[in-house]
Amino acid sequence: MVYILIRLTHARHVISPPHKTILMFTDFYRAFYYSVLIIAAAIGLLYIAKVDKAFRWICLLLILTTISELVARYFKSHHENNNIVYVIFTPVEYFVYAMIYKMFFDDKKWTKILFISVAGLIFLELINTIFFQPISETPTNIMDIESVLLVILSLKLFISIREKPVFDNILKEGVFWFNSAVLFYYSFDILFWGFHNLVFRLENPPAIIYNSLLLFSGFLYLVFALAVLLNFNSVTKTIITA
Amino acid sequence: MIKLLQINPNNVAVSLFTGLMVLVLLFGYIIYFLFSYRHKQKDYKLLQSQKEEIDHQKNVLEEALSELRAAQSQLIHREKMASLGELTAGIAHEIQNPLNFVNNFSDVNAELILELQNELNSGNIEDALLISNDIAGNEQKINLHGKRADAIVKGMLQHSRTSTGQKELTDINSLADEYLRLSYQGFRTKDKSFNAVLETDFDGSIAKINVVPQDIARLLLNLYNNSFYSVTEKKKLNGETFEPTISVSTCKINNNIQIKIKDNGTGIPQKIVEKIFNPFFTTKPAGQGTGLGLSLSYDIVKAHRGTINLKTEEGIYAEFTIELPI
Repeated sequence: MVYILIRLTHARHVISPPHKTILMFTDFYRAFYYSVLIIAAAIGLLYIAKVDKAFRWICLLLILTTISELVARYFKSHHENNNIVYVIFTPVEYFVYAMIYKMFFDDKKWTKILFISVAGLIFLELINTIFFQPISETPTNIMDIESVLLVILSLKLFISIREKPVFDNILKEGVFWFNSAVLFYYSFDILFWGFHNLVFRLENPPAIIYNSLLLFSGFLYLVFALAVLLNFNSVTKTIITA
Repeated sequence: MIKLLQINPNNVAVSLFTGLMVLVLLFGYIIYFLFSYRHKQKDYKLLQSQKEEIDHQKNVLEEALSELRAAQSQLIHREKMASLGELTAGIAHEIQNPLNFVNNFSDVNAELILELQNELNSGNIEDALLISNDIAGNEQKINLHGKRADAIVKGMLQHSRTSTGQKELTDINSLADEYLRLSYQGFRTKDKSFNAVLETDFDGSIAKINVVPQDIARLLLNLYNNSFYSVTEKKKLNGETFEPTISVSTCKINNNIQIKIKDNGTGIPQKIVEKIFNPFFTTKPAGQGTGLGLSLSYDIVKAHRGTINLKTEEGIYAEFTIELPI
């Protein structure tokens, strides 16, 4: 919470991290991140029609994230500033997450809450863009809020799963891995953006911060892809059993 | 790490420490989740198996219930058919009368037509007109008795048909009278020597009331049959000295129509009075009664929001009083 507060207080001072090059595979971290993204998107494309509804949205998320990152890279190489991509993609990404959780919760009350939260996030993004972080800046305020919301949703899903423990082996279920990944990644994401602000107030920000984010993101999408594959297996098993 | 600390040791150390703490917390939560999930899963599985067992039992019970319902409706149908069988003799007798009239009058008309032709040939117009008036009169009688036979057949069909449950304006007096005679004739067909005094006292001021006619007919028939059965049994015991009497009366009391059916038969012993409306309860020998007659009669009265009461003295009389709201 302390870091969130610090982050919000210093939001206006955020600047983009330094990039000596705009190529995708300049170092191990970027090579890992983009490779994972492309593999995950390929898995998403291959399995989107073969998995359960919620996992179709995960596939879509993987595809959209890959597209947005590629577009961001393109903008970086041609216009130096790619923050507009993140301004647009953050609410889109949250909407897709909301749809995923809507499918998992399968509850009218939570469907309402999710749609309200999507509308709220879009509204806050507008306010943030007009008053706090213009379109040329990374919308870290909104990223923070999105991360907090996703951590809450993830915890709620864990509670729901525990209330109705229908899975024989939870460790073989895609939903468990997807939700765990969301919980871990977005908890650290909150910290990261707080840390990011502190570091950026320094003259020489350490590259490890950004590299660790790339690693975490890579693992997140890797786990998402794994979740899709696990779901495909269980769907196939169900069909065979039936 | 050394380089990082050189940049801003305090901030970086605090941040790393916080990150580590969050990591520990998250792992802790996941481990707690997995343990509690397993624990809950055991309870859930037990609950599920109990639910499945309950569902299974429910299905078994539902099946048994539907079988029971099917058996019940079969029994009701059988009861109806049995009473229809008992009615058949009475109906045959009832139809025979109008048919006799129809046959006789048509024979007379045939002769009159021949006479009419003769009179016309001889040019005797006045006599021809008189004969033609007689033919027309006979024709009316034929029509009247034909309709009577038609009504009896329709009544019989109504009785055998499943009740639609639709109420119609019905003349209770004529229904009570008609079924009394049908039941009596039915008993007489079985035992030619059987005779009974039928006393009727119908209140002519009773207007038609809204009832399900098939159901009320069935109710009356059940009670009449029981009465005739009772007096027949008593006659077997007492011989010729006993004069079987069945009294049927109707009257209007407040907003109800009251039908009383009284017989001077064997009556009903006090110890079984409370059981007579129970399904399958019968005092008749095996194979002679289903035990559903009075039970169905009770249901019919209740369905009409009426009441049915019994006054009886063993060996002396039995009197059923039905009250139906107008």
